[in-house]
Amino acid sequence: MNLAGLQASLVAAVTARDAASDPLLNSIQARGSICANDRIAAYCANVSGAHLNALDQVYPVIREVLGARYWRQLLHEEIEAFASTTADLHAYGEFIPEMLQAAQQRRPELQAFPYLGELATLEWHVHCIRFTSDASHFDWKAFAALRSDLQSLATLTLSSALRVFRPGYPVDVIWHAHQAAGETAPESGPAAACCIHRVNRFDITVTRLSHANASLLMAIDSGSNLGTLAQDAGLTQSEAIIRQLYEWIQRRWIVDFEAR
Amino acid sequence: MLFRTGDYRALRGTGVGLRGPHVPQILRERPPVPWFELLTDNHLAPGGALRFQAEAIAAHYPVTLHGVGMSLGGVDPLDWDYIERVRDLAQRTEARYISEHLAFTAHAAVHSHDLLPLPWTEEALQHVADRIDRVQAYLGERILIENISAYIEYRDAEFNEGEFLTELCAATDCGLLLDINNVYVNAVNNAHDPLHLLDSIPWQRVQEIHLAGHDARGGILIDTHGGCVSDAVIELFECVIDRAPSVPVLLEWDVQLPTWSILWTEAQRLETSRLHALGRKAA
Repeated sequence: MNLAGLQASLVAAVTARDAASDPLLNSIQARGSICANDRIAAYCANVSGAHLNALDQVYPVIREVLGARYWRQLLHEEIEAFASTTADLHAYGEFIPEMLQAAQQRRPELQAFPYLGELATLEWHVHCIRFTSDASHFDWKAFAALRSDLQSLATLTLSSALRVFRPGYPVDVIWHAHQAAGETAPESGPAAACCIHRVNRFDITVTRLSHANASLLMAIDSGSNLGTLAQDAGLTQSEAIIRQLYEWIQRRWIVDFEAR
Repeated sequence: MLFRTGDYRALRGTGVGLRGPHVPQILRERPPVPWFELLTDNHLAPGGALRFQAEAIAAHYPVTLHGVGMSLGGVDPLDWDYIERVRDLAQRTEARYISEHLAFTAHAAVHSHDLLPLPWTEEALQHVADRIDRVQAYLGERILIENISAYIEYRDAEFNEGEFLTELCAATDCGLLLDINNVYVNAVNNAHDPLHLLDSIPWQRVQEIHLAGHDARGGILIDTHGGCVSDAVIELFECVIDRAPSVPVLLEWDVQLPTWSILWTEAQRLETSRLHALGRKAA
């Protein structure tokens, strides 16, 4: 086998559940009492262990809700191959919400947890924003220096450490209940939307949003300018919108603007 | 090539591989650790706590970068975005040097996140040497290459590991990061004499030594980094330390992570062992 063929065979053998190919097994030197299959199995254990540990880090609440042993068993049974598509192991695990929803169709024991997929989506957002760029400070001086007509044409930039999520179940309540003591759980009904935000370099908050505020954040994210935001709010609400935007700038949900 | 070889600032003594849970205590107490090694891949994100940890530690201690994701031996194209982020991290932390493994980790964009061994063949040597050349040229400095723990050896080898490492260093001018636990694990698993490899590597290229714990699993020694360094590995280390008396040593401990106090005590034990071994040999 040439180098490329050998690498293809070994990566397939250690990431998938298939048995190692005969050409690969024949290319491995027999030494001592350890056979080639056992040697490949050592890599399989390392590879699956690395991926399972990564998923434990991303989905600690799901793991607690299901129980650590069941969670591991589920992953072993549902994941066909332990491998990822980038060198960054922090980027592994986005498929879990969909996997949980699919597993619920087949596994009666999971049907009592219809919210699992949404809870996993919330945890994935929490995980991802741990690694995004640190937020800059909104440049008030530069904004104030804009002519008023240019201010109304300006668009706002949300922090890269912010996600808006619209769950159908009150998964934010479950998430809060599994955080360290001191976290305040919101009221128990479903939230219209949640804002997931990394406050500084370390702390993640999950905050409930009203329908109106969720729509406002979505409009900002889609590039609506300030004039349009105020116009859409109507005369009676435009002052409230400005107060809300100011508050979000203070909280660093909004971190920048772009003058057009 | 214009490698940054002249301004390698010397590291001395036994350093510790930095792990996130220990960072707050280290920053609070500032223990007299001579240097820390950062796991490169943990700190490449553009923001957040892990980036902060790297910069905060580097503000108080000399650091080196040790990566697992470059897949230097792989046949997939080099990931220049990844390498650029490594370079950026090295600049931000003023890393003394960058190390990677003599291994491949991916094929056809399927990443195993484990270090898979290369065959000791001319084809592999030419291939990995070319990639190390290109990485060093991009980074503008010499990198260190670590020998890995390999649970398989291939038939039809054209070199032994020592010969391969010697040829690789000569071809690329890279340095070596010698992991003595890996040498021991491979020797036991593959029924070799570990001293045979240690007698055949180019010691003048060795810039760093790694020590770590291993575990037995199903009749195979696994390089787990999950405990104290074994007596057998320390014995091997003491046997050869006079060949690189001033080379910095590093303790790696990744899983079943102990308290900082236990980890630091273990690193000090290794430093004492190093100094005693050097003293005995000098006498």
